[in-house]
Amino acid sequence: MKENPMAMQTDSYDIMAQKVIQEHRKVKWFQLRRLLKRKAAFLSLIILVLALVAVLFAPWIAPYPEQGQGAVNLEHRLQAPSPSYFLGTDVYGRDMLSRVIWGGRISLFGGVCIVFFAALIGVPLGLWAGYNEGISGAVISRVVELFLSFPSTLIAMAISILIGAGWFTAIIALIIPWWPWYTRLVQGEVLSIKQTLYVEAAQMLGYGKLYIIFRHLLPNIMTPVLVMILLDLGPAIIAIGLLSFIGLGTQPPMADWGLMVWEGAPNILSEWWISIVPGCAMFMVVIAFNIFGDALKDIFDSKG
Amino acid sequence: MLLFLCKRFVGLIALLIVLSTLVFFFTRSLPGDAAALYIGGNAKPEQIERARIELGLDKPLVVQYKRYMGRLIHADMGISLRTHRPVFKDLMEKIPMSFELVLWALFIAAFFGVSFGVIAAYFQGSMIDETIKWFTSAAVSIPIFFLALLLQLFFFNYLGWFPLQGRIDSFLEFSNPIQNITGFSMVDTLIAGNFKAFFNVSWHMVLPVTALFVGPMGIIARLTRSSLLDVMDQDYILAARASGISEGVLFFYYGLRNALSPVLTVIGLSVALILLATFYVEMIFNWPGIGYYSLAAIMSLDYTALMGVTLMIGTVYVIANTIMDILRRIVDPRIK
Repeated sequence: MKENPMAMQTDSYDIMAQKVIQEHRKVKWFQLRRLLKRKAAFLSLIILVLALVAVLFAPWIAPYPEQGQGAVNLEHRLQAPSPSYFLGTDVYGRDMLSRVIWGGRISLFGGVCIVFFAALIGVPLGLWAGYNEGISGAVISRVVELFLSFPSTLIAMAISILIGAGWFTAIIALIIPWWPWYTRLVQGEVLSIKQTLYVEAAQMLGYGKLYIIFRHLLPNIMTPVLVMILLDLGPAIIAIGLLSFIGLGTQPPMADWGLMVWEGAPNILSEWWISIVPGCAMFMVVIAFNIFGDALKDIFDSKG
Repeated sequence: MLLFLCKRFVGLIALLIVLSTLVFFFTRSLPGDAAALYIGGNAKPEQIERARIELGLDKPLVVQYKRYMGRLIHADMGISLRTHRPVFKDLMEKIPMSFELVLWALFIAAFFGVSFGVIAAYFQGSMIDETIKWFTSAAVSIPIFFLALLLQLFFFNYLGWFPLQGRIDSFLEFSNPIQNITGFSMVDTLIAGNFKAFFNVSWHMVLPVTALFVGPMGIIARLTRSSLLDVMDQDYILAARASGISEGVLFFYYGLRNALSPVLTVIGLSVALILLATFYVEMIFNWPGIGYYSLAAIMSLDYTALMGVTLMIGTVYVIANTIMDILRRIVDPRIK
């Protein structure tokens, strides 16, 4: 049989490509290992995984699941931490451990929702506004500027007063001032990538706008966007807590960590655990997100 | 520079007009009947109707909007539905009390934030850097209301070093009352030579100011560090180093000056951050300022007061950013 030289050629290209891909993967794994070698980042990851497991399997992990969801238990009001109530009980006698785990569901889920939808709205708009210099791009830029020229928390408070208090409306009220930050980030990145040769080449070859945006621009902005998403999770969790603390977010008997701190505030000097337990939970999860995000940012920034 | 100032001024006015328009339409679409809120519970329908005419709520929206903008120029923000006093008068009374906290917190946050950032960058990678990194990570991660409660629990309940809440001890309020001159209690007591009250008031301010400055300080320190390290990587620093300029001069003169511009922007942004934080801090520390007033307005849906508060915070935010932009141009002449 006669070998086809062209086939051999493509074959060797394939092998080369495979090698490059393997090499690339190695780098990725190497980066991840380096991330885990940092004690602080590793510790944060453990905290985050623990929190995630506790929240996902709340009905099985919480000692008193029905109290976690708000059922009252009046004969055991305001008890200090003890073996049967590991973190004490609140004004209605509910077990604080169960409450914190169920509260974490709302806080964590809310935080993830806010950041995810903010990125989902903000990134495409940023891609479009960065790539197009026409009217549509200018309109997006002006809207973003308008949002960024007022404090985000104030906008969120105003919106949640307008559309009514509740955990769902609080999340929407926070997404609305949150997405412009992603648009601005992406727009800036796109403006610099747009000048590169490969984008110009793609334009010369006559590819469409959308093809270039998704094939060439999107993959190149993913790293800063992912880092920002990770770094935004902590602030998002705090932001929901801020709204709930002044009664604009989650409503009783449901509770997120911010509302739980508020519920304990009148008793802070005697029954301190009612406020301190959810506050600590919030603090630990937020600091873990921040440290992990910082470490990831460092590693991506140093490029190998 | 003059052209820039003019441009900024026009932009400022435009932004304020947009803001007041947005606030107007926002408050008009709030749920609840403002006239009924104004009169209070158990009002007869004809009383509510009279209040509606008194407040001008019976006119078409466009007429209301014109009247509202016309009054705003004369600093008339309407009558608060909750306190039944002019909102502007309420605000003017409360603003100094809060700004006393805000200005202290801003000053401390900026000073220590920049210092910690510079120290961390100077000793990059050492134990000092690591410690500052942990400390600032904690500072930006702690929710403001949790920090305020922790401070109360620790410094009042366990140590007893600082008072729990309020502006001044109640017995001093009768024996050495604060005369209202500027509204800033520390300045007032000093001018009046009322030193007993001065120390008492300062003592009461320690915990609220601490709660306010910790977060912004962390943000400013982290940004100063990263900005400074970025600048020290630049070619012109390398060139300056190659020409034999000493490392200290290089760092503090060439580096710091170039690194300050993003830091100034963030200091401007933290004004709004601290103002919003006063909502929580003033509630927890029972401080009778703008934050307490705003929170009461939010809870009772007092829409005229809400309008005033939103306008005030928006204005402060925009003005602070403008001041910082001007400072940035002075510090860094490359900005055009």
